[in-house]
Amino acid sequence: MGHPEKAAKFIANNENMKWHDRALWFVRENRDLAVHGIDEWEKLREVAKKIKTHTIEKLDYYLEEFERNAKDKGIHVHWAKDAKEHNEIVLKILIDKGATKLVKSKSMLTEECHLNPYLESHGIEVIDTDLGERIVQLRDEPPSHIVLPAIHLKKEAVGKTFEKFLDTEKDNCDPTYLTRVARVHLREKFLGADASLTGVNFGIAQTGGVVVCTNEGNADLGTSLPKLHIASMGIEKIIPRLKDLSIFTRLLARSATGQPITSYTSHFHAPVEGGEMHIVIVDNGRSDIIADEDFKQSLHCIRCGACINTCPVYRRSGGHSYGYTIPGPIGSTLGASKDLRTNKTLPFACTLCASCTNVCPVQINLHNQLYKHRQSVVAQGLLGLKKHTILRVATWLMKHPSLLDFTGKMARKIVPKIPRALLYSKANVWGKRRELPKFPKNSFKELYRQQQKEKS
Amino acid sequence: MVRENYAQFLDGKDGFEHLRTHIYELVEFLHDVIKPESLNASFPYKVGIHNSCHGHRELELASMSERNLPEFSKVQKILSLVDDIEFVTLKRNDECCGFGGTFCVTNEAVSVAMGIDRVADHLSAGAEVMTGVDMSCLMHMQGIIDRDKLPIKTMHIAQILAGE
Repeated sequence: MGHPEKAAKFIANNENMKWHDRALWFVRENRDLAVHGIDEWEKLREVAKKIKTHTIEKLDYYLEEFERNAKDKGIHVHWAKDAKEHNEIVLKILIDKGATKLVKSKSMLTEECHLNPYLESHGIEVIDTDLGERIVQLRDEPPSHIVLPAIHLKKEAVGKTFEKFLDTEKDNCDPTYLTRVARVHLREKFLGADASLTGVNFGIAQTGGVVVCTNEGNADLGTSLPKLHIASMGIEKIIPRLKDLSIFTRLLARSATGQPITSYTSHFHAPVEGGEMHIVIVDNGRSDIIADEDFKQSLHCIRCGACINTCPVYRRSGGHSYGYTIPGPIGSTLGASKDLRTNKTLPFACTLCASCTNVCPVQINLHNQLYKHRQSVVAQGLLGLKKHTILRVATWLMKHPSLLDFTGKMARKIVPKIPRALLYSKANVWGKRRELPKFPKNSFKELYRQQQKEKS
Repeated sequence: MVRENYAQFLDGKDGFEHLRTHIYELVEFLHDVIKPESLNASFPYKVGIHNSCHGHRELELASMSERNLPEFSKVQKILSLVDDIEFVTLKRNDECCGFGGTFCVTNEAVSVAMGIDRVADHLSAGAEVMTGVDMSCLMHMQGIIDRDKLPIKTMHIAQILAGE
């Protein structure tokens, strides 16, 4: 099932869909308010893009600088070419230290690598400590948004989930109550953990340290209590200098939620006293994207989710309809780059409205990328016979203007005479929920010619 | 579309440079080239402007809500020359209507949901007429209006400017 079918299912629950749309539009409005408070916003976006473009061009250089400086600080650095290697490295670090209980803060990279099920199958208890992530983990669902993982769930659904797994009071879905229960539950997990894993928002080449941004402080709790900290980082997370960080922290939270900055911006530049810190640097297909001029900008992404919140298609189809780790415009292009065959409907989950490109804090040409991916879908014969045939016929017609005129003329004559039951049959997808336009007697061309004649 | 996207197919071909530099969207042509100071037209209705995405974000006919740049609208400026016209304020000034070309049938459910929301925004703002520069958006939303028999109608901006 592709995106259109899954989206239709999401939309079938009209009330829920409308709530989802409004909740995310609210986030977008908060973002707008924050952005309009910064006079130099557009300048910031430009500088951020320049830094990212420069860094991606010289990524090998900066990655090696990062590794050197991290090692100097006593941090272990590992390189993983793909998801499998990443997972194996993480498991080996845990086994070597005899760790069996892992607390994790948010990391889309580990979602991409499917780390949780891998570790669990090797007897490791993995607890996601971001509240939204924990909710979807309990429900055995993937996150439906990269910043708001449980945005597809209303508080009633969360209440039911907690009732089942955390023994909360029946039908109590008061957010404060549920949050407090989650807090107690997660505190126990923090105290009992023997290792923590975090994602990485920024890896600073100049200092060899990593920066993690959260609103819940869960990354800090996780990394402070156990003696082992593993940070999983995609190769594109590198920024050259510490001073570049301020550009991105100013853009990130404003774009994500409208906050001036995330509640916690945590710098990890050494292991905790008597402990160990490991950074796993992961490629998993990113080098292939760098090699592709059309799509390399997608690696500039700082995972703020602004393109997802603004996307009118995402807001009405829900994150799970995309079937890829990251939904929305950025996920559609990354997913298509990674595996076009599996994700062939994603470049079309878009009206090319271009809101994403203009909301993006690092100016990624998102809608242009989706348009490009569509061409690849056609070129690789993945469009599907029906759509392919229709487009071929349309192309042929448009290449023969007189035939097109004739077809139009016939349609104007015939269509108005077709009985409604026949005209609005199942084959008429347009007419399922919309009336067809009223067919005029004459085409524009005919009217124009007529007028010219009258004038002369 | 012609200006921004045809180059990949037609670049270097005879006449393309002429075409690319001599093609205008109607409002753009009126606003940037003709620059009329008055129009002999009256339209005593409450009007909602639908900012069609390609005119809005590709041709930049008006400032986008995503950006932090000075506000302007060539569409509203030209329409303001029409006597007695009244504009309504929308909750979402430049959200896509969901037509999107083949999207309207290949992703029918999302397309319709988006169209319904756009029409509803104009209705609740008190608009009697929705206007815009792009016929396809208007056709899509008129289809919804007709099906649901809603007390609003779509008109292309040319119809209003011509005093129809």
